[in-house]
Amino acid sequence: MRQRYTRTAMFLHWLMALLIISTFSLGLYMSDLVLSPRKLQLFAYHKWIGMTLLSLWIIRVLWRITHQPPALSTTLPLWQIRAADLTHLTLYILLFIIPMTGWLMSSALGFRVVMFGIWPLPNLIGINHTLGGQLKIIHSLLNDGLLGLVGLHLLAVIQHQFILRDGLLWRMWPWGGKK
Amino acid sequence: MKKFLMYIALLGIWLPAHATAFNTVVQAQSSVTFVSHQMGVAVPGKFTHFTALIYFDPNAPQISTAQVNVATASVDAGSAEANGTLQDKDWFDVRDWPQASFSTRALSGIGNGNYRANGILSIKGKARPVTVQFHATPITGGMMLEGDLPISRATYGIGGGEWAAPSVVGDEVSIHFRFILK
Repeated sequence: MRQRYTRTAMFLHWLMALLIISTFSLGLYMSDLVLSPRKLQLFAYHKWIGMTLLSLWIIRVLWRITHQPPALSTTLPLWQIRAADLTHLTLYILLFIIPMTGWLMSSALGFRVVMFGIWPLPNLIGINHTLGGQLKIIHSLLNDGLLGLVGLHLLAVIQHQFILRDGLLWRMWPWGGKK
Repeated sequence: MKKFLMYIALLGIWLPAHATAFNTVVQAQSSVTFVSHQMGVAVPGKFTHFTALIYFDPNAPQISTAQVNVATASVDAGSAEANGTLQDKDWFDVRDWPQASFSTRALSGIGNGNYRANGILSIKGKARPVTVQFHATPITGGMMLEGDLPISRATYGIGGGEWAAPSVVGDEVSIHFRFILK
């Protein structure tokens, strides 16, 4: 049984983490801006990063299905293992439906997603401003959920690293290794 | 009697030419729309208020005329936020320039139901000569004129100031029109 995630799994995890932090902050910041060229640029970047995350998500899920992750310590209480599994599963689900609602919302509001300004993605639904507005609210609520779960994810890391001191972080930490 | 016959003869020349002419624009079925590019994304828009006075004779384009007036404040670029911004001085400056217009008295046929109109497009007080190509399609009891006019927004000062850079909002805006004539 391997002790750590594969290099590929680590790479995908940290790359996605970086992109999620960027596009999440961007999304939060840009929504309240008054219309300006800067705002249009930021919206485009936000969408490009979101669609990149969606592509990475597909690769990551395929990798996850075909590569078993390292087992958790058997000394952990069952409820904690269950909670960890449930959190991870929910994170995967959110990381799919958040970009999807963004894409749907762009289609409904009539601002198509054009990757890097050159590659138009298909519109998933027709223009419908009411639906677009609702999708915007859903997109934002799901992100609140994501923020909460990422917080939980980090709290678990802190608990393992500084309270249990069981070195769990080294399973996913690509720099160095188990000390 | 001779004079009367001459009138009849003249009418005979005059009538066939005019039997094919159309001069009533069916407003509800006509449209003035446009496509702009924002960060490479084609964004459709339209003007909801315009008036068009068109006299069009497909067989005699040389005597055809058109005068189209567009209420700049009726611009709809797809979102309330954009529509608000487009009223501003940097864009259509609707308070000072409530109307944009196109007029032509120089039409010519170029074959296969296609026509060319040399006219003047005037936006924000800037009048520039333009050439519009359009297609005339006969419809039941009327005629449909449809064409495109790509313009440079910089030429007319649409989107100045911070918006001038074409990297965010492209310089070329394609105007599309459809007029249903009876």
